[in-house]
Amino acid sequence: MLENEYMDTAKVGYPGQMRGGKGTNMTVDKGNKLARASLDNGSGEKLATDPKLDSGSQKRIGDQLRAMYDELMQQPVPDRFRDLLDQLDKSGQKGGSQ
Amino acid sequence: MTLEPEPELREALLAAVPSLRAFAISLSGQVDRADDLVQDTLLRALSNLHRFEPGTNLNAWLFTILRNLFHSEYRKRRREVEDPDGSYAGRLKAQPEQGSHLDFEDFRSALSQLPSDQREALLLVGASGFSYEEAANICGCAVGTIKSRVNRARQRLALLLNVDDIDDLGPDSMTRAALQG
Repeated sequence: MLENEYMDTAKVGYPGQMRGGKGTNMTVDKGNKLARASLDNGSGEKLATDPKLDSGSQKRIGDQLRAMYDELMQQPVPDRFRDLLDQLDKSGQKGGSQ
Repeated sequence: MTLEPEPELREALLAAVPSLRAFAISLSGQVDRADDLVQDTLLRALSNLHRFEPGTNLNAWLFTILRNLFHSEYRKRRREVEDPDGSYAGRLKAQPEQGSHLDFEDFRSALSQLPSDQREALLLVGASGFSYEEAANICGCAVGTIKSRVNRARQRLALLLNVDDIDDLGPDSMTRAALQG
C-alpha cells in the first residue's frame, strides 16, 4: 500500500519532499519544473543543458539582490510606525487590557 | 489577555520594521502599499501576540503575517484587475522608490518580471537571510519547493539581466562600484 503511494508520488512528481523519498521526488520535480521553465522563456536549450547557474553568475545575482535590498533596509523608518507603537505602548499602560 | 507591549517587544517590533519594509517593497513594488502592509502586519502581530511562541524567531513570524496579508490582498485585487502581473511590472518601472537612487532600476525591473512565488522565495532566502527551512515555513510549502523556486528565480534573473556575459553585466558603473565597495 505504502509503496504504491510512493511510486505514484514519484511518477507524477508531486512536490511532497517533506516525507522520506526526498531524492527521488526532488529529481522528478526538478525535471518537470525545468521543462516548464524552458517553455516559459523560450530558451530551453540553454536551461536544459545548464539547470544550475555557474557560481559566478549566481554570486553576481546575489550581490545585486543584496545591494538593492540593503539600500531599502537603510531607509529611515517612517514616523508612522514609531507613532503606532508609541500609541499602543501608552494605551497598554493606561488601560492595561483590551 | 492583556495587550501590553513590553518595552523590549516594542523595540523588537520597531527593529523589525526595516526588513519588513524592504521585503514588502520588493514584493509589492510600491512603497505606499508596502507601508500599509507593514502597518497591518504590526497591528495583526500585536493582536495575536498570544499566538507567538516566545523563544522562536520573531522576524520569521512577522514575515509570515506580512506574506499572508500580501497574498490575501493580492487575491482580492486579482478578482478586480484583469492583468495584475502586467500592471505590477508597469508600476514598478514608472515608480522608482522615493528617496532611493536609480542604480537598481534594471534589477528591480527584472525582479518584477518573476512569478510572485519565485520572487518571494528569492527575497526570503537571498536577501532577508532566512534559511530554506524558515522560508518554507513562512510560505507554507516544502523545502524542496523553495529550493526549486529560488533556483528558477536566479536562472530567470540571469537571463533577463544577461549576467552570463561578464562584459554585459547590465547595471551601470555606480552599481558596480557599490557592489565592490
